[in-house]
Amino acid sequence: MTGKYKFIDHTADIAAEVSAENYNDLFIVSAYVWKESVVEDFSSDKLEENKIEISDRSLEELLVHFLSELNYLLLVKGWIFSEVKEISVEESENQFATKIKILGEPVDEKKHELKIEIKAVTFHQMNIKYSDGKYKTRIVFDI
Amino acid sequence: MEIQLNKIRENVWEIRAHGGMRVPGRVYISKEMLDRSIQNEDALKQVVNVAHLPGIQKYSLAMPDIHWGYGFPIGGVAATDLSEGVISPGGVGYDINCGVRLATTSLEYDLVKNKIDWLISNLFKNIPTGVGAKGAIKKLSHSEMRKILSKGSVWALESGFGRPEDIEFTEESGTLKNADPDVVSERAIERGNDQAGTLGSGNHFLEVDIVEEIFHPKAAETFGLFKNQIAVLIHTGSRGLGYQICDDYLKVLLKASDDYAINLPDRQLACAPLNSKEGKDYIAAMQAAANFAWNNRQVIMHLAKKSFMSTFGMKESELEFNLVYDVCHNIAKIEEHKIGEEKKQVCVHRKGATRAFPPGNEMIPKKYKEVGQPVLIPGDMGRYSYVAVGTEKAMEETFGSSCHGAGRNLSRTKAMKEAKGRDLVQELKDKGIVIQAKGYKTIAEEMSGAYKDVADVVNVMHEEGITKKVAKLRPIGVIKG
Repeated sequence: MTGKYKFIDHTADIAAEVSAENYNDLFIVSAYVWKESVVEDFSSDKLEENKIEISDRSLEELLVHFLSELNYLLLVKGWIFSEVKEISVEESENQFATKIKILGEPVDEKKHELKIEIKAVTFHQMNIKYSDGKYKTRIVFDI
Repeated sequence: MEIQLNKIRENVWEIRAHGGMRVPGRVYISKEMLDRSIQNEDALKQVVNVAHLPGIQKYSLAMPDIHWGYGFPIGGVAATDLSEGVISPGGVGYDINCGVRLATTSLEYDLVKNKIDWLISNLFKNIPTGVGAKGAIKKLSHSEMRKILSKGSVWALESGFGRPEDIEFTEESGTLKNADPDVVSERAIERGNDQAGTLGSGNHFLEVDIVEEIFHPKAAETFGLFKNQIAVLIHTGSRGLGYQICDDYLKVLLKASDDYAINLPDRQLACAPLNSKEGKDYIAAMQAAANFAWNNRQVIMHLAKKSFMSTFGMKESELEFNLVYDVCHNIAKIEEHKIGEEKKQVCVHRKGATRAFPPGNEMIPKKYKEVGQPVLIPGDMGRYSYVAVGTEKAMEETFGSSCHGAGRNLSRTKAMKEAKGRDLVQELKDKGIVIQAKGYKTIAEEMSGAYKDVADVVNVMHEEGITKKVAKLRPIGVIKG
């Protein structure tokens, strides 16, 4: 995985800079930013598989959509994402789509220490640009 | 690029209309506050961005608690023309109808001080707080949820969580009539299910306050406030349901912005014409979320009343748990305002701003007609909050709007660093404040020093005559997520 991330100071919310050599890794590293934001690190030997299949008009909308799905799984279904098993982000005419297999488990209050509730994954400074051999963007969560 | 501010009055600054701005910007803030924090922020740029919205009237306004937000700055106010203007979720916020409710009691501090720990424990036990807080009341069916979205606080009243006078003293009587559950996604209903009557996390709270100082005796008396009285301040909103509605409609309105060829400087300002299907659907969904929020605060107030009654062994008639008022500070509403020489209906976006209607306005309760609408401005958990009252000048200058709170001073990370090695619970206790929260991290992130001094904010509005100070409240107990 070529993705890297760095949290940056934000007065009210959570922001991070992410970069990766390809779309797939950009999505994976963004998912880890989401995970680190919402839950203290945990390990498990009994992870379950879940699938996300989505498409949108732009890559930015697709990334926001993907992270919003992780948030939905946590807040509504009580299921916490742990790792990405398989991913493919594809671009076709005026459309971006992804099929993702993720691993995670039902939230257990004794095991998972939830840090904050992300109200929404925002579009603020979400602008995926390619430079120096990497795709880069900022991710900002409204909390 | 640095934004040029021209001084209009002591605390009023104007940004000349330039580039794609359709109107000038106006910021209500003191020179000291401006120098201290605002000029380095992107918030002023956001005042400029909002001025680009089609149909915006008079000014893109910012209240003294202005700070950076998504799309609009927090503290941003803008009115748009009904036929040529737009509606933007960025002018409302993710937490639709986040707001504040103040209730008074017949109790005075001396009667409460020895039982405050017990009271706070009871409140904490009865009102779910924290991430994904749920289960304050029995789980509701899908059809009951839809009823809440249509009826707002009236649902609480009909379900035994309130009294008729609670409705009377809620902005819009706790129900926006054009709410439509059919334009609310299943996912939003799912996210809000089981959250009625819960505080949630972040900056939301329930405070037990003491009325410490009265500035405007006539208004205070009219609102039922007296010195040393125990009161309860509740700050929360539409929880997951509102966040999801905002999220859902940002996508719809992003596409609508393209379809209607609206050029925007920031995607978080995504909008649609007020008379378009997309715009109308968002308004109907936003109103449903607003109704959910009012119901939420109504249920919390009821649970707080029960907690007081059990702690002090009092009957309802003895406790006199009366609602002073409930205001929303994240909303867009159709209201009548004077534009030039004519009065017309406009859509007023208030994002982190409170409605502040003057004496005589037909939208405020009969009891308050002579003094004006109560404006509730919470501060931080270690200092104080304010009650103010709306004025005619607010109608003339700010579309009947005022400030809404203190605004953060430190990021959560910086607050955590600041809190390191300190015992914040003990520090608050030394100041006579008992706190219970889901975790110490919340207490650290929400520590008093992480917020600006709300008195600075309130004083700007007071000095400019937009709102007048009525009373200062000091916390003696807090519950948080």
